[in-house]
Amino acid sequence: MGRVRVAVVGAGVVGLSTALCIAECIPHCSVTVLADKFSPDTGSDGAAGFVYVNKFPDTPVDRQKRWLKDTFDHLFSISNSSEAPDAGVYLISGWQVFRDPPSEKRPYWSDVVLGFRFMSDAELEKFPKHKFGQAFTSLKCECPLYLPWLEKRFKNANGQVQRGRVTDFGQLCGNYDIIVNCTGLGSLSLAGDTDLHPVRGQILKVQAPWLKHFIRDGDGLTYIFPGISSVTLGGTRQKDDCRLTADPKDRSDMFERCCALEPSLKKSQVLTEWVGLRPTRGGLRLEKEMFQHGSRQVPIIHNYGHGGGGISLHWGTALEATQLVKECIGNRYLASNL
Amino acid sequence: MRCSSVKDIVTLKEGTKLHRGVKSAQVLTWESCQENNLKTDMRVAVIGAGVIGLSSALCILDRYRSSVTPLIIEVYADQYTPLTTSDGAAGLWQPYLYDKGNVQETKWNKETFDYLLTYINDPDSIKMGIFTQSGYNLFTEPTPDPSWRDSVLGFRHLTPQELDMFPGYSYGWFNTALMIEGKSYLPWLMDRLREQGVIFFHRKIESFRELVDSGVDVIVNCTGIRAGELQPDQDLKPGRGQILKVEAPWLKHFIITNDHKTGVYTTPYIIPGSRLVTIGGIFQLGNWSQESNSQDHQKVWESCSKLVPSLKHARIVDDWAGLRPVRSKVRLERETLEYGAAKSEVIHNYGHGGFGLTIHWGCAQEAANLFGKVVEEKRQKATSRL
Repeated sequence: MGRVRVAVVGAGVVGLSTALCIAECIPHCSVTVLADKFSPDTGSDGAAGFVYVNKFPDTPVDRQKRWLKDTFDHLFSISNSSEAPDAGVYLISGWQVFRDPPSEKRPYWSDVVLGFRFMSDAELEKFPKHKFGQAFTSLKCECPLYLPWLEKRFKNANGQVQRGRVTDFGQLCGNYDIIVNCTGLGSLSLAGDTDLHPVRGQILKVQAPWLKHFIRDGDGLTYIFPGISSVTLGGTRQKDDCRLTADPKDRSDMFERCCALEPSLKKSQVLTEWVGLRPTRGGLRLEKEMFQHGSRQVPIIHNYGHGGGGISLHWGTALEATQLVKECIGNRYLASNL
Repeated sequence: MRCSSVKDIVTLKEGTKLHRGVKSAQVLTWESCQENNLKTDMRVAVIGAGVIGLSSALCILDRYRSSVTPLIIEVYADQYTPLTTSDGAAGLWQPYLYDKGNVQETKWNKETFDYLLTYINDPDSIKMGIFTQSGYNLFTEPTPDPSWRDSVLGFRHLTPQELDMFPGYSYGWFNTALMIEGKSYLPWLMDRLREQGVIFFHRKIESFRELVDSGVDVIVNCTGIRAGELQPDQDLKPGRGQILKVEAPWLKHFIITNDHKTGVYTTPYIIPGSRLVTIGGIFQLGNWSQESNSQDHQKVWESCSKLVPSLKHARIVDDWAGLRPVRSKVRLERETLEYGAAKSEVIHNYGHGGFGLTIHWGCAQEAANLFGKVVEEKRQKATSRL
């Protein structure tokens, strides 16, 4: 059996991490990443990169927790190494505050993050409109640094990169044995997935280097994430809204909401704004599908639909996708030896 | 009744009779005292323009400007911001671990924390140099909780997973504290003082006597490490520190290592600021050198990079050495100085070691309390003369 040729479509955080995982874990694979957009133009690049994720309604909780934990552990070890600033990965502490106490005060991820506890009354005094809060330490992973860092590691593992748009999986069947689909919203057309839909998110980046804590409103709409060279303020969650240009009304509204949580922001300088479309699905699609191309059957490993949890879950889903690729290779070997 | 200066603003009551031969300025002052329950005038000289001097001046002004008229405050210093010891400090609010029975200092520390916290939602907080920061205190053995555990926010012990980040350390704390950066706070204090007519003199005071002779009523002695030049103090010693300022904006927590054997500030600490990260770990008792040296520079750089490997990529921007005014306890007390007929009250407020910013407001309030007693005594004397 010769080298197994794997095509990973998509070069956002899911595509690059999956490609890297396969290249490092499966020695007799030659992996090629194919995409039309690379950092800093992917959907992952503008995201704050805070490791935190809402529940997927249609995915079992223990599977989501495993993805989150695998990602957290992976990023945690980078944050403690000298690679941290190159990779854009670091620890951050802060608070998630709720106007009204949530039904689930201790979420499924509370033992994945560090030092999770409920906020004291003294701490809540900083947020007069909020009655309940959670304090914890999580990670930040900034894709404009992380994606090039992943790509470098990928190339060191003999990975290949090809620029170009894939409009049909059939294009790849002649040259590749296994296809891994990490196209996010691209799967709307590529995989004809009607369950997938965009959820628009607009953010603002400001200069406020004195801010060291994240603050997230439990409603998920207002958040402040200090970064390496700017602070990300957000946001919006607009279902089926595809507008990629910034909306001035959204901008002034989110700035006001963020200033209400952190008044010192009034003195911050606005740097840029950005819009991304979260590739949202009831359940994250991570499974194998056999693609019929003429007389051949080519396995496709789908790994998309991460919604707003791309960075938070990327390494966990990359590991699971790699496992599925291994199984395909195993089956192929068996088949070729019958 | 002495008329202190032309700055007196007094309203003459209608129908007031002027006594023949008495200057109207004097009468005005007397009249206003009659009306306003024996208001006393005071001339106060604050020596020192670090955080202690400026905050003492502000506290006295805020509390007594309406009851003491005129209240004239002058600040004398040869170093102003950004050249004071307060400017070089990282600015983390954290007292020494244990007060060793000195509950008064614990009280002053807490008062300072509570006071600074009231500004945390003020849009001008960053102009004052105030912001919150969380972080880690690390130990190589289990350690009793500090005297300030209830002053800070969210104090807790570290989990095993958190300790995994710091090989060699087996125990620790996490809490949210406040930062108070001298380079912003001192200019803010000076603005508040200037607004209220305080005058700043760029001058070194060579002796208390020169101020007493010039007619100053109260001297507030906030001279820090150089207090011994005005009045010998065997208990006051320099605790030399050297720090580096580096660019490492991915660091969002303070990390303080502690060694009970070698003492405070002797082991690496990393404190991110609003722009740069301060790294240090030098405490040399008795060393008067304010020059940075390469040996301490190396020691700080190597020990902090070992603690946080990502620092290897940080660019070093500055290197600074300062002298912590170390004393067995803060000297915060009154003393009467007499030189012949001239007499002044001195309020000493120095010897804050490495916790000047941490304790400043509590001490300023106490200095103002002592000032209040001086005012009261002066009033009683004036009353008894009538």
